[in-house]
Amino acid sequence: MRTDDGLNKKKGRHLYFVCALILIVMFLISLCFRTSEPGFEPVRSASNLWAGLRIGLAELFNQPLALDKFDIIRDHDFYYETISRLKESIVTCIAGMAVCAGGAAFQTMFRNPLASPNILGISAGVNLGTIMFLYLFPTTAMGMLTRRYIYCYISAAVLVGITMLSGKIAGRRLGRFSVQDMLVVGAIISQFGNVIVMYFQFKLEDIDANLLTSYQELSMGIYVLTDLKSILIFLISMAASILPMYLIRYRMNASVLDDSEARSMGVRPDRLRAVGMVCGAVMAVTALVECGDMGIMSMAIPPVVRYLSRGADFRKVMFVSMCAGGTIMLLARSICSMIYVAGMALPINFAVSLIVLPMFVIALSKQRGVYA
Amino acid sequence: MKPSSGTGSSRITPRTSESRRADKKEKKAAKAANERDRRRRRNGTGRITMKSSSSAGDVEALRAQKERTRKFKRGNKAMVVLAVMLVLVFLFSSAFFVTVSQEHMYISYLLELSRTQAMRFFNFVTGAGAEGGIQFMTYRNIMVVMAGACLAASGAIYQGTFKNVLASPSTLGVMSGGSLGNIIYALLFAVTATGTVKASDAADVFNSQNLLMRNLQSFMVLIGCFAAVGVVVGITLLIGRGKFRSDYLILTGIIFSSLIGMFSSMVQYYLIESNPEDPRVDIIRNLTMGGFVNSYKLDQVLIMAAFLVPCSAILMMMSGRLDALVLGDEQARTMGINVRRAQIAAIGVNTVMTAVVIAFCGQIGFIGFIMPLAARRIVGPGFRRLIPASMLLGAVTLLVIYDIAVLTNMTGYLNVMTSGIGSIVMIIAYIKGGGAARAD
Repeated sequence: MRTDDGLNKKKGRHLYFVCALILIVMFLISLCFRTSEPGFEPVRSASNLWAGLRIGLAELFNQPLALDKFDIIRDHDFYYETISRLKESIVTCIAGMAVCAGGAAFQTMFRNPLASPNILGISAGVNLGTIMFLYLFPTTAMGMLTRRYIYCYISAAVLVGITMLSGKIAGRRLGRFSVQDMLVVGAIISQFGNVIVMYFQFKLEDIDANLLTSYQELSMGIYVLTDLKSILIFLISMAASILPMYLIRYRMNASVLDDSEARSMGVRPDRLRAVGMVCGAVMAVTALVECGDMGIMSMAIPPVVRYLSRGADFRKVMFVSMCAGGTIMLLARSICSMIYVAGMALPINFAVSLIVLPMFVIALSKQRGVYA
Repeated sequence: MKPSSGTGSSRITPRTSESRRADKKEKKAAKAANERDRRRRRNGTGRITMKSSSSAGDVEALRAQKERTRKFKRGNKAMVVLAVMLVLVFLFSSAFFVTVSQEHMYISYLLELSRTQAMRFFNFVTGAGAEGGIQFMTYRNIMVVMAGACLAASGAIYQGTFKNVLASPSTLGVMSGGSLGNIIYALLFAVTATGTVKASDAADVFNSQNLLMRNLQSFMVLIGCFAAVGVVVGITLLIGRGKFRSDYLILTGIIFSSLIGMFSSMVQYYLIESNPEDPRVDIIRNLTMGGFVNSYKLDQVLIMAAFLVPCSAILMMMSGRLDALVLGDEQARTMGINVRRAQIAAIGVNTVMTAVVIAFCGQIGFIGFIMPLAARRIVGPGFRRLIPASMLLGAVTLLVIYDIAVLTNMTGYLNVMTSGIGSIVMIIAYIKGGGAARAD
């Protein structure tokens, strides 16, 4: 798609600006919700955050205000809740952004609307890792959640590795690499993983019904576990995957072309694909570990964005997808904080699907065959 | 895509009278070949009329025809072998397989049990009387056979109609629709009486119920399946603005399934959270694991057969039309087929078949996904033989898997068994043979 003329460029910039603005507004709105019970209190949240900022700065620069820390906290009601809400919002927003960016990259690389990190078996891998972790440490699992990252990463890597390897071997034997093959293998392997997860769910219930509940909480994203160590892991792995993806966004457009054409443009498609796949996989695993299974977004948001931005320029699609993903996750989190069923907040992935599905249907019905 | 032969070169060369004559000749030959092809298709068998075999093209066609005939005969042989295998496996599994707990896994004990079982089965078949519940085991095996056949046939039709290997009952939302119906049943209608229930009271209740009330769960699952397919097809039509696109259908089906899956896990979560011993959780869960624990009665067998037999007959009658659908909408339309009607009929019949299986036997994955692919490699892509071949293959496979489950006392986890075995076999076959994934 040619966007060289000034008008289109201006339009593109407007689009970026509007998307970023919506994301920021949604972030601010999301900060104002209470976590432990339904409630929307902007003023209190603002004063709590201001106090938090003051205390944090004072601690950082060794100012005397830090000595009055506990007095200040006592004066502000629900101080800790607001701070944890801030952490939660940041994690949710980045997770949504990452999932959508990964989905956009996969769909562009594979030129297929069904492709997403999900279908390579990542979602099944994360669930498998979680349930293995709970099965191995039934009593202490909820106390050492950072270790869960290791299990989830390993099992997701194993499933994705099997998928890629078998796809590659089949492709080599046939003398070609076909996306369809990879998708089929991925579908088989993720179904296999899901069934094993189901089997272990039965086993967990035999040990203790509470374990099953905690598995469901972890996999549905009922709440975000926000201890500092896991946030650090989260942020580091997100930075390590989003930044490379953002840097190769220009070359990603070349991967839509034929391999030979891309090579003639000075881009090495196989290497590009490998980098994109690894980055997308890391993003997706990190996001799914922290926020529960919301892989439907990675499949549904990029088509919507392609419809809205009227084209498949990867630079645009990636940026707008990221903004849209963050916004929708924050919106879902806010909705979940408002609706309480049986004394508990709604799981976030259900809210996400409810928001995404109608958008997806409308976008697809208006779209005419623009996939990648 | 076939490369067009001859026409390209004739357009470039200057048009002399000779080339024109050659063109005419070519056209004539092509026309004759078309006519022959049509006749052959109408006949169904690969008989050839040896009228004019003058040009080289005809010899080529003849050879190809011979090859096709040979393949056809080989396919027939494979079908016969499969049918014999099915009968043997059925007899073997009804007569010899018994559930044994792990403490009693002794060879001599097993042999003794199998001997008794075989005697009982013989007596039951010859009409000398049923003892020890042998009739229920036989009915259950019949149900297993029918379930495998149904799932495999519907998988074959889905894959062929939508020209996509990913299309199977589970991706199109039929299975998740069933689980949605089951959830509604569990939440609204399930009997969750606590305390002891007298056996005589239960028998009275059972005798006072009619057929619908006895099979209310299955009925709800059935309704759920139909509703799900209606929703998915409706959304697809909405998306395609009245046009029916298979990739949209699969996309919608996958998303719908994931939505229902989330809903299901959410309901389970709240149920467990409020009461860890809630029996409704087991009702919801058992459907997703598949199994024949509750399907052993004669009336269930009859209901299932009443759906299966007409459906497979309709599918067999439609097989020619389905073959045409594989060519693509445009070509099918030029062959005089109402594409929309054929597609909707195929989906409808298929949904009935799958829904009945889900209603009585729960979700059983992978049979509808792998068996058609395997059958396609054995007998080729023609639906006239693909449908029966996949039915036979599916029945045999599910029966064998069920026997393994019986032997290892894992009948409660049938979905795990089918998916575990199925996916490993599938991956190996895929890597070794490649190309198995082509649905056309």
